[in-house]
Amino acid sequence: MVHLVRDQIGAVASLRDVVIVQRLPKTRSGKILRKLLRSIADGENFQIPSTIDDEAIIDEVREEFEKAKIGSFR
Amino acid sequence: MNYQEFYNQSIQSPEAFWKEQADQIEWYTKPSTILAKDENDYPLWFKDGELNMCYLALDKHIQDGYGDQTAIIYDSPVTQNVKRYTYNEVKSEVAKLAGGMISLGLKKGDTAVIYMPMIPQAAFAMLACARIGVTHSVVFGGFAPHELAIRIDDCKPRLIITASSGIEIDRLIAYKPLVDEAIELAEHKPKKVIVFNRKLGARIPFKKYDVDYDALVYGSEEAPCVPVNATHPLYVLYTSGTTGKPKGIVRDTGGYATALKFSMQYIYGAKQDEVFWAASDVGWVVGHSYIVYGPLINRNTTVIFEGKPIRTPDASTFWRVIAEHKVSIMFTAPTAIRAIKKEDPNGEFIKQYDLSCLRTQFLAGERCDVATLEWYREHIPVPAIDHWWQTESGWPMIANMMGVEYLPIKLGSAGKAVTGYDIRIFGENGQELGPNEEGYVVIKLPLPPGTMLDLWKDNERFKAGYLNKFPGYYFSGDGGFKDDENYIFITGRVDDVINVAGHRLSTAEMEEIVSSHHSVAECAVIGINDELKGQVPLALVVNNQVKILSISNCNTKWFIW
Repeated sequence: MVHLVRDQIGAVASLRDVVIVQRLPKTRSGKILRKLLRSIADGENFQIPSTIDDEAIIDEVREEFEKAKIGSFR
Repeated sequence: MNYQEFYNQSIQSPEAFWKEQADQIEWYTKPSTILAKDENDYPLWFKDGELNMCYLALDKHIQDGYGDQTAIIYDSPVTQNVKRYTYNEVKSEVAKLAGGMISLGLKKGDTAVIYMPMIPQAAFAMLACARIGVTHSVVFGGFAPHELAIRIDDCKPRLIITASSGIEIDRLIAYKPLVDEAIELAEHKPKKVIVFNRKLGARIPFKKYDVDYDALVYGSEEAPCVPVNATHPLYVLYTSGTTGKPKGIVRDTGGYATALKFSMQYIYGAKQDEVFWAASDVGWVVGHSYIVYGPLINRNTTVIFEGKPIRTPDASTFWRVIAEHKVSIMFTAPTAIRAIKKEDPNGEFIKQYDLSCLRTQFLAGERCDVATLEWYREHIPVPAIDHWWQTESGWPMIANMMGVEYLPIKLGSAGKAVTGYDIRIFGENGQELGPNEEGYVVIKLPLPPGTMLDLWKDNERFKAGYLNKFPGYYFSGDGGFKDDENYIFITGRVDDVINVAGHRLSTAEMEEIVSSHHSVAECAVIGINDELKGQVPLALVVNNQVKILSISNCNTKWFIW
């Protein structure tokens, strides 16, 4: 998969990290909460969006980030 | 009809174009002013016209002799219940509910919050408000009391209409205690709460402000439709914004009615009396426009579906509903298709149903990745049309206008600008970008009828959020580009562009590539901070059901795949 991205966007994209998760955090209407994911990875303080579908996913994602030593969990 | 000609007319002579469309609906007073501007130069459509949305959705069709046509099919896999309502039945219930609301002291200009599950009474409540000029604000059923309280304090409803409970897949959620808690938390106190008792076993603590829905409807006389001005706010709908205080999008009546009628015919290609199903929720804009008002104004049969794409009871539910109710046109979100694809990658369930009634599948809510579209096309032989719009617009802004001309589909593109929307791609400094250059998606004012009127009681925030960035243009907040044939590709929210070692990269493009991998069910690519490169991309991947076993033993961090 990393090769796929490098082939198609170029090495500058440098997609090194792929984390497998069970679920992605979404709003109730099904939009992926990308900003929330960024905040978790960057270790920023964040407010849980009011419209989140399932808050439990935040901890699941954080655990995966910790295990994989992503971003601020390095 | 030719799309390009039709589009050009709408941009070159918007007043003539929309006057003609406004003539397709009935007015108590036809507008003599087609396009005016408010003090901020923001468009006001059909300013001096008078009409009533509920009349257009119900009474008109009865007067035209279609009272026995089915208006609503309620299909509820979570309660194993299917019920049909004719236009006559809906009108009678709505008019009585409206009469009951008047007896509770509601009048034109008041607001009411509707906090309901996906049951017909949610639509009845909306229509009853519209009937007497009460501005409704539907709050997605199941939002926590704190969220409901914020919305109550913002729009200050005189009344809340709710139900005893909702069902989340297999879990009964008592709604009424959530409403009671919200009222306690809120500073503003609604006078009355109408409770529809679903009799599903939820405990409903009785409060002094409670009114029983059935008793109210049974004991009330039918109320007539109250004419309202075209710019009267039909509803306030709070967006599912990801940060900060929710934004109350205000919708007018005249422009919206005109736009919905127009879009049912020219975008969705819906013929009157066909079954139109938007598998969404009345708490979202899709529910307002294309479960309730749009299909009913166009005299379609609409489906109120109380279930999920999967687990109610399984990934066959959508196909069962389409086959059973002879759905001609369906609308759902890509995330629903991805959920089904994950459970049923080979489309085994699809083969069990006769889907020959289905003519077109529309998708919106987020950009649809090519892998999902291709999966759909492989298993179901109807056009799958991605299209783009926002709560703010109320109806599609970029689409393949199926009622005008079916243009060749370009995978990954939401289509071309819809009539009335003069869409441009701007760079950071407001300069217009050329073909295939990615930038901000903006729309030259005036926006066509039906788009947002304002933010509820917060015009400053409205201007700051949408109009000030590029004067004379509506700022959508999304990024994208046009190709050399004017197909528009939306690449996501503008803050989803990442900057790797000085190169601006679209995470959408990377998501596209990652999701083309056969074992990926869903993915998100985000930019995370990196000391060296500024930002680096990170992909979060949800695997296909079939692959989970083979992957679960592996390390979660993958350097080479």
